Amino acid sequence: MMADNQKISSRQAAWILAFDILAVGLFGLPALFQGDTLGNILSEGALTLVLAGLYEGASIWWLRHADRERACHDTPAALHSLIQIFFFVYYLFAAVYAVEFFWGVIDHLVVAAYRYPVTILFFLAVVVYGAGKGMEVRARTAELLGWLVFIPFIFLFILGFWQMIGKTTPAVTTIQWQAIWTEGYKGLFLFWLGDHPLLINRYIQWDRKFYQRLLYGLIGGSLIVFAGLLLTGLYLTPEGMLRESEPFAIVLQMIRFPGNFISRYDVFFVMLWMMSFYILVSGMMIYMVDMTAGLTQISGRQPEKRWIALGCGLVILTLATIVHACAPFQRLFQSGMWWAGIPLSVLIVVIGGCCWKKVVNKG
Amino acid sequence: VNTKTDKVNRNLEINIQMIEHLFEGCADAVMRKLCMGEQKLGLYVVYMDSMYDRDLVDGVLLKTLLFDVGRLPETNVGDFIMKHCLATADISEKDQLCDVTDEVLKGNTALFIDGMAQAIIISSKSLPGRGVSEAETEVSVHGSKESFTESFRTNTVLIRRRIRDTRLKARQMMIGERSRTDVAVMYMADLVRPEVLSEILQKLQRFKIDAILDGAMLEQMTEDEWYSPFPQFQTTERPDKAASALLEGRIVLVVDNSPSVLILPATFSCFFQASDDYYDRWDAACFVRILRYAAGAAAMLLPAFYIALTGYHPEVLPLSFALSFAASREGVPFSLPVEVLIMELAFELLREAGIRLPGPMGSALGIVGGLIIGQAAVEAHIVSPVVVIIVALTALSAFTIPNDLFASAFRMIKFYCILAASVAGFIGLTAAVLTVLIHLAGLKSFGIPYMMPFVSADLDPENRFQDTIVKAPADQMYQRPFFTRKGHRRRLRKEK
Repeated sequence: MMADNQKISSRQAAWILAFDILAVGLFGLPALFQGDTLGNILSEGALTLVLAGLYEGASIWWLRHADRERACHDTPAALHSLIQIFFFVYYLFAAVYAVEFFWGVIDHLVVAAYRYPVTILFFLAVVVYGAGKGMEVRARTAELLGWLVFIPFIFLFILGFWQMIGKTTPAVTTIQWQAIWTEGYKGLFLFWLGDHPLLINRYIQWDRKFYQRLLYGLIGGSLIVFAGLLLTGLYLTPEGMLRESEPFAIVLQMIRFPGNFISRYDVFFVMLWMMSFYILVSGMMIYMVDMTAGLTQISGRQPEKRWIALGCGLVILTLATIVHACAPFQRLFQSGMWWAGIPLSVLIVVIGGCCWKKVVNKG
Repeated sequence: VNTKTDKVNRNLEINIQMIEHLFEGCADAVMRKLCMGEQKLGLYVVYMDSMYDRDLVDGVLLKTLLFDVGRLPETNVGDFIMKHCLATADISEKDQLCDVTDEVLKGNTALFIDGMAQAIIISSKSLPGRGVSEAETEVSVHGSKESFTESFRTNTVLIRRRIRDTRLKARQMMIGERSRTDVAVMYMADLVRPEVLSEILQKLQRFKIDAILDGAMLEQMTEDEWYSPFPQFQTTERPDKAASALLEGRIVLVVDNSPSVLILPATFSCFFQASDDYYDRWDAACFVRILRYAAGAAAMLLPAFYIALTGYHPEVLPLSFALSFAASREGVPFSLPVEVLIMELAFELLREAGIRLPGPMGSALGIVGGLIIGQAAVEAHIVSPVVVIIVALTALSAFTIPNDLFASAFRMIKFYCILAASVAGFIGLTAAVLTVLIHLAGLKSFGIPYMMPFVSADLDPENRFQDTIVKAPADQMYQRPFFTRKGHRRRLRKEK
């Protein structure tokens, strides 16, 4: 019997990480590196993806070798609660930012068709429903969506590159190393939106092919994002990218499929991207629910997680509406998210280091 | 008389009083006191009229008891009668009155003997019912034409005939406080997962209900997620399919009076499998299987897709296409979602009416509905021709799914998708699809994820896709699927 133990396999974890990268990077990276030379865009993109992959992979490896159970046991309750509150605040900010990011893509793509409240309500409803079901179902959904989302993108990129053959491509030679490092680090912040290694690590079950699969997931997601970035640079040129707020969305409109049944495929690919974005945001919501449940259990109550998910969803909806309406709040939330994210990312090194030390001492 | 606790008495007169009291007002019960042998030993025979085998009871057993026996022994008369006077092997003794009445109500004959504290039960069931006929809802071109009937024993025999193995077990029980319906839990002892078996046995004993009149009622009583549109049991009217499921380590529930059996656990991919897939050529079977999956998606999404496309994103259509869609809607007073809903509901009405009407009339209604009403609706500018095509294609796709209950789930979700696409176009449709996928990802059938092997693939690493969207050739399917107990997965061995 496969019990509902809220554990996920390494294969499922790999799909989740690949979706995280896809969801954030596909539209996020081309928009982030606007105004650069093509050489810089590609180098910055590659550096960002490599750093993000290295950070995620290395953190999971680091934590896997640590005596986590012991660490949880030894951490003082107050510190534990503080970390939980910190994570909650971080993911709350991140979810609001993600909702705004989602709306940005939809708004740019199909301006007349949708209204903000409808779009956000539908998306958040799905996120709340999925988060209420827990991590195991999220992981299975990621596995289910896996090839369903990735194969069309692979086809799209093959056709995209095919259509570029024989056309003039912008020069890639100009590279400014200083800018690459600066922008590369800036891009890395985007990928902190995904599953925090400290949190996802608790769910993953160890198996023989653990690292191999994790590597496949990280590389697979990164390759798709890099191909998207490359296509955007080739199709729009850096000058063209500068004129668009969502450059990758324009590229989606330019790639043609044979058959002339449909003239533009951007809507369908945004649907697929929305599915991967669901995987990303549902993760944020699940962690928020976990943190809330963890904090409320201190007072001895056993909370119903799907109700907490609904509550979190309502909070995100309210905050996202306020942020959307008032421009100054956007900046506040973004900087709040980055500042909350930095200590949490450093926390991995601290926790991993402490527990590692204990394992070594015990060993 | 307390039927639950009372026992058969040594005194025949007391037994007669109890039986007559219990069957008082039952005109179909036959009860008669007889005398046997030179000592005029008292006998009392009870059976239900027209439920018993007249040739056996009247022509053989009673004739022997009344006319062929002379002097009876002084002691152990019951034993003597059982060993020397009853010309059938299928007899048993019951000392509880409730067991005796149960047996009589099943069609068996009860024989009370004066001085004996047990009743002899003679298996003499001969229930009225139809014979084995051709499958109606799961038609096969190449395979067996037989289908299950309403007779419990016929159904178990149809399975046993296909698996002549003592490892095929059948645990029999009675469910229903008043209906006392026979239910058999059939499984291969060495292949079934013990945890699945114990779970179903527990679930069957967990409730008390007046009556189980069909397998579907039992399904509803034992499934975990009653609100899900997706069936968590597979039903089949084909014995070969049931036998095949047993050989995969699954469990078959045979319910008396039900012309189909229940198979568990069931996963999403099971419902796309048809018997012909295994009898047909490999390439043709694969092609049809892919077609069915595509049809499943179309049955659920096509109308919603049309609404989202033409209602929210006409810009993605080529100009000629968009113009012809717009021209076809000229004169139609309703909005696009209403137009689609009218046609979908009209089709559902026709379908429902077609099922309720007798055979030839039902098919005639389909033609009348499809052609005449559709055409008339187009000419009256109630709906556009494109919508008629979309609805027809959707219906055709739903009929391609081999299991009717599963197809119903797709039909229900279709309306959900239509609603979502009407409110929020592709965003709504994507959200609707995602909720369905999340629901499917969370669904389990007796502990097995419903979307296996598309999810939780680690649980079934070898040949997991051998019988899903495509079917591997028979001589390449070495392993049984994930339903089977670990360590018993090998089903094919070939000499090199």
